[in-house]
Amino acid sequence: MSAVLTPFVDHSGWKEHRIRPTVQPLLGDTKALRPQEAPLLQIRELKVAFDNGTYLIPVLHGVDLELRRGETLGVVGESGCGKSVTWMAVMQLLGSRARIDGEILLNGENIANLPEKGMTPIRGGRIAMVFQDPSSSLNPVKTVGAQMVEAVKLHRGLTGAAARAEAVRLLDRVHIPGAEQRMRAWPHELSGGMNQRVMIAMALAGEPDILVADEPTTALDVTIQAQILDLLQALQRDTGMGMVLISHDLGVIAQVCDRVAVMYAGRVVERASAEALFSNPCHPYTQGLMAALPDLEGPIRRLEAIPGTVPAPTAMPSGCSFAPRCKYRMIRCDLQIPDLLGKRPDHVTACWRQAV
Amino acid sequence: MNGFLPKAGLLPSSAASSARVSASGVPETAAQDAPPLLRARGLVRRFKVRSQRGLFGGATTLTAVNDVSFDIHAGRTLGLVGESGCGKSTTARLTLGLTPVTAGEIAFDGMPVNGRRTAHWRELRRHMQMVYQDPLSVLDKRLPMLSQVIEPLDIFAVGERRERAEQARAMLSRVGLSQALWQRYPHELSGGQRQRAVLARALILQPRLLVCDEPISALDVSIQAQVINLLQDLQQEHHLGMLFISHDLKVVRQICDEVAVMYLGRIVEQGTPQELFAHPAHPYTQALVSAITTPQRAKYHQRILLDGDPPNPINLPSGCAFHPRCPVATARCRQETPALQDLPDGRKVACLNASTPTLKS
Repeated sequence: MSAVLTPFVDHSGWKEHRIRPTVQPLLGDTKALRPQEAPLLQIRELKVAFDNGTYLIPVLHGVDLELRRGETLGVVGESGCGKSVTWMAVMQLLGSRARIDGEILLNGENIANLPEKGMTPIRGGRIAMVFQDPSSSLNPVKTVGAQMVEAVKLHRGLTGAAARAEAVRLLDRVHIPGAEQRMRAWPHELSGGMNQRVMIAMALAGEPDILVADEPTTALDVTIQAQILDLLQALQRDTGMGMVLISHDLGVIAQVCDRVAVMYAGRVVERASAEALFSNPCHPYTQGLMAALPDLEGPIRRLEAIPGTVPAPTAMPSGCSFAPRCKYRMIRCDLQIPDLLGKRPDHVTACWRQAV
Repeated sequence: MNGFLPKAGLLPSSAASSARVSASGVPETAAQDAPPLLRARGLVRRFKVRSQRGLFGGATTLTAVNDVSFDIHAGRTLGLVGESGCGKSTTARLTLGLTPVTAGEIAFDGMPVNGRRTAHWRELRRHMQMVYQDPLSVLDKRLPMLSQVIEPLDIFAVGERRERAEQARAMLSRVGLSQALWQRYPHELSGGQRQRAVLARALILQPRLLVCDEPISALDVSIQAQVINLLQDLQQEHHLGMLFISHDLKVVRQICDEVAVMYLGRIVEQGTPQELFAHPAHPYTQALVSAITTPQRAKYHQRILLDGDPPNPINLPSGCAFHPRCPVATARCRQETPALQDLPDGRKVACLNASTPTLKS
């Protein structure tokens, strides 16, 4: 095991050996934008590694993403692919053992490795986050109202009756019936769907530019999931904020998102508009994910499972990380890591088969 | 087939039920003639709970399962879908006799299962196995995989010691666990591998009925497909009857020959997945089906949004339990509890409005 890990013992730079194309795909993307459409958030070459005391375990290997104003970006992938870590790194919620490298540009200003003091107004104020399990994110010994007022005080500087009024308005905004009475309720008295609405109201307290929703509906029932997705879409339309939806569910992503990034083992392997991705998936992993999903219409076919499992972060293949499970595997796949490239800047794939 | 007297008016004639089964295109004659492997009639389960009025609230009853009837035939799969708290898992436990029924009858191969833990029941249990959602919590964390799979054979004292180990190895290979994994402990396996081990352990006694309670919900999409395919293959090989519980309707459509939709303890609609998902008759099924997210559906696909949450099962609404959330509820729905009725296409639905002439024609 230690033989595999030796490259990462060297703290001077845990760069992978990869052959870069002369034109970086990211530049192509930027040029395509008109100046007034400068992205709200741009993540460049984001790398995250966790220090376990002996060596660094890399979990993100250079993630490039961008979020424009008023757009919903979907990040999809299996557990352990780094979809949550990416956004936890943006919010600097990963703790002291994480080593973050790369650029995170919020309105052109780099917020990667910003000191805690500089990060505080950004967290919740500029970028807010909604987590998967609402009942474990809310404080069980405080009423919903007290927690809402706390958020409003913190982010908006309101006090007393004004703060309370604003909290009620926010609860009303997320369609909690009887918001005034619900202020006195405890989290355990509300259902999962209601608690998730409270979490969303709290995230809106700081009037953020970006809302990051990390699996917001995974813990909820199907009919409640439909309600929450509908609410998130409506809020985004009204406020024009950028939204990031992290999910493992391709169906949820397809219904809500404008653009989608598919992640696998700490890298973005495909990035495209939602329509392009779902009508014409290019990366073998994306294709495999789609084929593994049962349909709702048409004849029942045997599911095409992707063989094998996701590689452990401590035993990553040297080339393309999907190569061991890929049915189109070539010699080149085991040697070099493919870059995100594509014929069109808005549909890029990290696969050697597409590049040649 | 008439060993158990069903409640009057609740059950379809046996002819109607076999017609329904035949809709999914498997050799029918056997299924029609043979009595069902498992037969459940009018299952009711009530739990005593403390009332939610403060710390000293009095006792009250919660009806988790209310008047549920179904048949499971050998080699076929019945899917049970519904939201959390609707009684799916309780039904599964009743089926195996893990929880005694308050009322109703269950017969496995003609023999009653009533939840009393007699020697007779233990002998039956050998033929009825269960697969749970979270494989890590059902596996023994201190035993390597091979020992865990041998254990059921030890309990039932099947064959010689050496034969048991041999059988367990064969079963582990069958579910796709390579030899390198046999001596590993549960925490050293991935989620998909653990679920394979759970399947191996459930199938080692060659059961005839497998009850799966959300067996793939904890797995990633690509692993889900592997386990679904494995389940389908194993079912064919062993001619297993299956009760498959899931909240994922896409998976249910993939696996099941028949689906029952539950809402607050009752079956509200039952039929083949093809018909049920293409033309749902009950308003709740309609909402469930429209809420399914698939990549194939257009982005602004019209979803039916239900108001509110499912009501508390302790204080069920009067009449049809769905009426407070139902978009087509009438005054009658508040008073009458609809019974499960046959539709002309062989489906069964419990809705007062679904039986209006317009829908029947």
